[in-house]
Amino acid sequence: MATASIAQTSNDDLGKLILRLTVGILIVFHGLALATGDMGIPNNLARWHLPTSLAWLGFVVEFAGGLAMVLGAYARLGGLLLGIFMIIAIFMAHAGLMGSQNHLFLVAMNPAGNHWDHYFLETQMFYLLGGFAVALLGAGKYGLNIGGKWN
Amino acid sequence: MASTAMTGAETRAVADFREDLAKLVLRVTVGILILLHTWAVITGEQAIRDTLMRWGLPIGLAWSAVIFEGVAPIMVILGIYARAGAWLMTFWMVMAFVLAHIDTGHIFQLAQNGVGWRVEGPFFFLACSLCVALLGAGRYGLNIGGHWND
Repeated sequence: MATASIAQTSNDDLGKLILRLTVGILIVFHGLALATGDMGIPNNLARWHLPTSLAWLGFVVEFAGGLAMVLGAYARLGGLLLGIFMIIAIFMAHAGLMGSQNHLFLVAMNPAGNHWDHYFLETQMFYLLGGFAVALLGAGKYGLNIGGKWN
Repeated sequence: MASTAMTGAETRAVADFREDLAKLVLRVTVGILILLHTWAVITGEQAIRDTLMRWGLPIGLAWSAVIFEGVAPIMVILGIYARAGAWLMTFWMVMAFVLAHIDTGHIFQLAQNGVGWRVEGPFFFLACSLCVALLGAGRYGLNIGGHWND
């Protein structure tokens, strides 16, 4: 019994690590894209008549929040911020408001463009719910273990 | 914090609730999103068939999608031998990478719009399936399958 529960724990921690690394590393790439001139977020802010400089908030969430998850330092905080950020992103860019297209109920085409095959917001949902999952699960033991209950 | 037994028990209950909720969120997310891809395969989307053809494999193998990304995610969503279902999905996604995304160089490329990794989507399916396999289904489901579900 003792052996079984130890194996269970290490599987749990491994699962948490894989989730953190996946969500964290992939979103860091989006932070880097933003920092190197991707106009997705600034353009959306402009459409909402908001200062485009607010995009730095997106960079903090994507890059610093992503690193927090990867390293296991305030990982829950990073995940929570990412989840909230993605809700705002979907609201501002994908909900048919202020001149955006409504993608909420849209099934999208495959890369070849000859057959629909996935939910339009598939990636966004992975970040949104992956972020919340990290926030709820915590970092587990494989990481820097910084941040107390926020990790 | 845990100065009294009561506080400790409450803290534990909150922690369990959070863990089980996270597991439900992961199961439903990865399960529902992949079922759309499966329906596309069933209704004639060619990507998997093209890949099989490129490797000289029988095109009929595409129908194994019904098991690996059809029955398996339903097991994951409902909590029926969810870990087993998640391992089947993990195997399926590993095969997707081996047959479609490594030799083609996709894993070294950015997305076509230049933002993010090209195989972000497939990798999310691979990693989240593996996470469900390792973490289990938690409390919120049909709870069928003992160790192969919890």
